[in-house]
Amino acid sequence: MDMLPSSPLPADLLLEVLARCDPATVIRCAATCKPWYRCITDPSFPRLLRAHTGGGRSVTCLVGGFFWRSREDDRCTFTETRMSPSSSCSAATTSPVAKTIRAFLSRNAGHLKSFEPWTRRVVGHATGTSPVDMQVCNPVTGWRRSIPAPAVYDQAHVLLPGEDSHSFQLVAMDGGGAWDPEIELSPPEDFERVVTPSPVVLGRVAHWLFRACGAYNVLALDADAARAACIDVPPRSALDSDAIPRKQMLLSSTADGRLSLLAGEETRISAWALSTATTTTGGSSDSGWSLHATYEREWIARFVAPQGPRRKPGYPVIDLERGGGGGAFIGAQGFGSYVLLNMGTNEIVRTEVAKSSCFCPYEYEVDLALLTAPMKSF
Amino acid sequence: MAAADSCDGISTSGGGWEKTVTLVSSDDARFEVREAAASLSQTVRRMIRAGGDGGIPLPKVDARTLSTVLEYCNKHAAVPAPAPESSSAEAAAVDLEWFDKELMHVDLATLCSLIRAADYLEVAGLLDLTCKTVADMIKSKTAEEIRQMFGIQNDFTPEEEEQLSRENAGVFE
Repeated sequence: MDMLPSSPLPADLLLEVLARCDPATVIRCAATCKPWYRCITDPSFPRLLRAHTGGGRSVTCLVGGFFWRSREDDRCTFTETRMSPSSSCSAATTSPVAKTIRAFLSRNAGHLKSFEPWTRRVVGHATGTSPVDMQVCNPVTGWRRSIPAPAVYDQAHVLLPGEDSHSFQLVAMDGGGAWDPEIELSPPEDFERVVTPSPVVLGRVAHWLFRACGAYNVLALDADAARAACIDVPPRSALDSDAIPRKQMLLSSTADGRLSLLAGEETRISAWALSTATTTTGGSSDSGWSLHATYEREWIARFVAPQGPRRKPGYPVIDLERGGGGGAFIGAQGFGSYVLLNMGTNEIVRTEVAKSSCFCPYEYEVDLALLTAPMKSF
Repeated sequence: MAAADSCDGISTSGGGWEKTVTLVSSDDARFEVREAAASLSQTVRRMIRAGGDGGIPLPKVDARTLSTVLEYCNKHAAVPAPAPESSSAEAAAVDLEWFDKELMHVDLATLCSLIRAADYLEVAGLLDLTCKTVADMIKSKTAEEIRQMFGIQNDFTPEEEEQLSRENAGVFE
C-alpha cells in the first residue's frame, strides 16, 4: 500500500496500529488529517478489525454497559460495566463516551418513549411524528434515523446492523417457530421456547438460551452465514442443568467478548465461557466450555442481603436477570436494587435500578465500525 | 527440514550444536543468527527453505533495525517450553514480558521502522508488540498532539473541523 504523505508508516501498517487502539483514539486520529481520515473511513478498516477480533467478536470496545429503563417514569439510564477494579464506584472515572451517552439520554428523556438498544446500535421508539416509528440513534456520533417498528416484542428477535451500516436486519421467530423472512431457518426439532426474547449478540451471531425436552440448550444464529446451530450447555457431570430453574441460568458474555453461561448451583454461581472456535463454527461439542469463574453465594449475599443478626439463615434467593456486555444483573429477594456482576473485574456493583420498577436492561457496546461508518467523506 | 546449503555455519552456543544462518541488511551488515531464531521470521524461513548461499539478503531492513529484530527473535526463540503451570514457566513469561518492555523503550521513528521491518519479515509477535506500543503512545492524546508526534500537517478546513467535532462530540471532550 502507498506511503501516506505525512506518515512514517504506510496506510496498511497505520491501520494495524489503529486496530489496537481504543475507538476514541481512532476517531481523534481521523481528525488529524485527510489522508488518515480516508484511511480510517475506508471499508477495508472494518474488515481488518473483523479479522483481528476473530470474525465478528467486538473486543475493541469503547464502553460496555447496560441501558435500563424504569417503566414508572420512562427514564433511561446507562450503567457502564467495563470499569477498572479500583474505580468502579467513582463517578469521576466514567469514560467520556459513557458521559455522552448519559447526556444523550437526559436530552431525549421525553422523546424516547421506550428504549431498546441492541448490541452496537441504540434503538428507541420515538413518540414524535409517528408512534409506529422506531428511532435508531448513535449517541456517540449523534447519527439518527427513523425506521418502521416491527411487531415482534414477545418473540425471539434480534436487530442486527446491515452490511452498509445504515441498514438493519431484523431476524425474528414467528409464531410457528420459524425465522422470517430474511433468513429462512428452522429451529431445532425439539425446540420448546427461548428463555428470554432478547439474545446475547456477539458480532453477527445472536445467542438464545432455550429449553428443549426440559433441558437447556443454546441456539446460535449466525446472520452472515444464515445458519442456526445448537450449542450444548456444559456437560451434566459439571452442571446439573435439568435441575436448574429458569432464573438460575443466564447467557452473558465475558469481558473479552466470548459467550458465557451463568448457572446458579447450590452454593455458588458458576460462569462458563465458550471457546471462540466453538462460537464461530457453532459446533455442538460440549468441550468448548471452560469454567471461567465461580462466585460463592455467600459472597454475593454480602452485597444483596442486610448484614448483622437480623439476616436470615441460609442464602438469599438470587435471580440471574439479564446478561451480556461482560456482566450480569442479579436480583435478590428482599433487596431493593439490582446488583451488577462485572465479569471483567469480578466485582459486584450496586446499581440504581430499583427492583420495584419494571426494568429492562440492555447491553450496549460501541465498536469502531459503528463509529467510523456514519462519518461523512471529505 | 531446511535445506542444508543455506546454512553458513555450525555453532556451539548453549552447549549444543545449532545451525546458524547469515542475514544481510540493506547496508550490507552481516548477522549470524541461530536458525531457530531467524525462523521466527516467516520471510526468512521461506528463504531458508528455498536455499541459496552467501547469506540471506534483506534489502528492506537496515542494520540498526535488523539488530533489534534479531534481539527479539533470539530472546523469543530461546524460551524453553517447560510444563505449563510450573513456576519456571511463569518466571520465563515474566522475564519475557520485561524484556519486551525494555526493547520497546525507543522513540517513535525507531518504532515505525520496527513495525515496517516486522511486517516485511513477518514476525507476528514483534508486529503485534510494536503496534501495541505505538497504540499506547497515542492513547488519550488530542488530535493536535498526534499531529505533532507524527509531523502531520492539518489539512482540514475550519468548516470540516467544526463538522468533525460536532459529529463526534464525546470523543473530543
